[in-house]
Amino acid sequence: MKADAVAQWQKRKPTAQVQARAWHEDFTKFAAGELNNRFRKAQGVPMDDDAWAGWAALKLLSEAVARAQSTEPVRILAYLHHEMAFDGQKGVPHTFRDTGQLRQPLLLVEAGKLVGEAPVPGVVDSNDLDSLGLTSCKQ
Amino acid sequence: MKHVALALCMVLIALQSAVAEPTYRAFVTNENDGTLSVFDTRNGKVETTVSVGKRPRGIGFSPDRSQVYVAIGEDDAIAVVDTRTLQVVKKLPAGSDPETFAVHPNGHIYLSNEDANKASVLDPAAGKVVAEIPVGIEPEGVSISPDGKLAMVTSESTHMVHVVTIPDHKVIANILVGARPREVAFSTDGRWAYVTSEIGGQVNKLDVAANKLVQAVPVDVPNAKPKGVLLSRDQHTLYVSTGGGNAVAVMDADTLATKTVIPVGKRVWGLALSRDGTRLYACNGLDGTVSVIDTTTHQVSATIQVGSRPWGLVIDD
Repeated sequence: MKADAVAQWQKRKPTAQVQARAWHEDFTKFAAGELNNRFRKAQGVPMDDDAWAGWAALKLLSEAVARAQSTEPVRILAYLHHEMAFDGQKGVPHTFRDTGQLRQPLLLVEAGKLVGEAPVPGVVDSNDLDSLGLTSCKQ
Repeated sequence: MKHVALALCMVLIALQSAVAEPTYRAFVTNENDGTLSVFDTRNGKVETTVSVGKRPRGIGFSPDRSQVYVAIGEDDAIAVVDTRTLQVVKKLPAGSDPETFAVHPNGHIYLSNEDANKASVLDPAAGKVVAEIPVGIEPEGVSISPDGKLAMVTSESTHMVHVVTIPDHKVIANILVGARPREVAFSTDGRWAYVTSEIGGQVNKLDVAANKLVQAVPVDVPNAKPKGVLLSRDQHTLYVSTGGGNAVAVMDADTLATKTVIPVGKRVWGLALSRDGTRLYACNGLDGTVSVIDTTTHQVSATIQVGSRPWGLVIDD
């Protein structure tokens, strides 16, 4: 998923030394600013990839329980797989693929600074989350 | 004869004060500029721009419409602007980061403190917050039921509508709705509340008496990020702004089916309806314009240039 994001970015800027990340502390678009502010206030440190993933994991689980109205593991897994449209505060709903990956926008970071988002507009449709990552387990 | 003339004069004076002449002004908050754009609703001409404070978003009238209130989020205040003189009369401390609000007929302002997980009740006469109500994370939309007995507050990150009784301010229900609920609109009979779900891309219909979600239907606009919602005067139609969907959806208020899609400008959020219901105004945040829509033909009849990042508007007509 990250390699796909970097490849898209490098189609526009071939020499750019970028990394793809799930989150960045300077991301303010959509509701990211609110989440970054809340995290920084509560934790005293900026929110990084791992922190965002931890937040997302707990929120995915709690929301699945609340929406499925169940604590049965099979029911919760099914809900996550087929019904969950998660607000990762990156502006679009995040959904799970059959491969277990969470479809989501990624952020491009160069020398620690946020430079862009993937799917990269102009290279692909910016709404095409399936342009990033493993969409199928089949070879 | 003199007595009749005098009596007639008194009747006319009484009528005049009971039905104050509207200013025919629309007030638009420009989130980036810290200003209000003021235009004449009769001809669409921008009259002036008024500086109000930092990050203006929510806007609403005092019950007699002599003043318009503006939430200036980065000043943690509500600016009070005289609708006739356009002077900023005062700024009321409103707690942290006020975003949107609803004005109760009793004059109190029910507002959302976006970064503080609460709603506050501000008494403009006393000049201070008189109650705080804990709600979910990232509160945004606030709406008051037509009978004045309930407030509904959305929390965008908790994905709930919180139902608060007035005046005792008890949270009596927390209703899970579609992801990232933004605004609530009540039907005038108070039976239904319509909620826009931005990330869920849908409209949720709530049964107010039962505190229950009864219907959830997607807004049929590509890339819809539903935000603003209001009912037509006859209550049969919903107008929904779709953010980056760059269109206003016209939906059936009973079935929530999308009947028509009206393309407007970029990142459309705030909506307002003329008193007679014939004109719908929509704020295009990324274009810096307001679209004027004829509600019978569903065509954009005019586009008005306002300030930077127009968020919402209210009309005094």
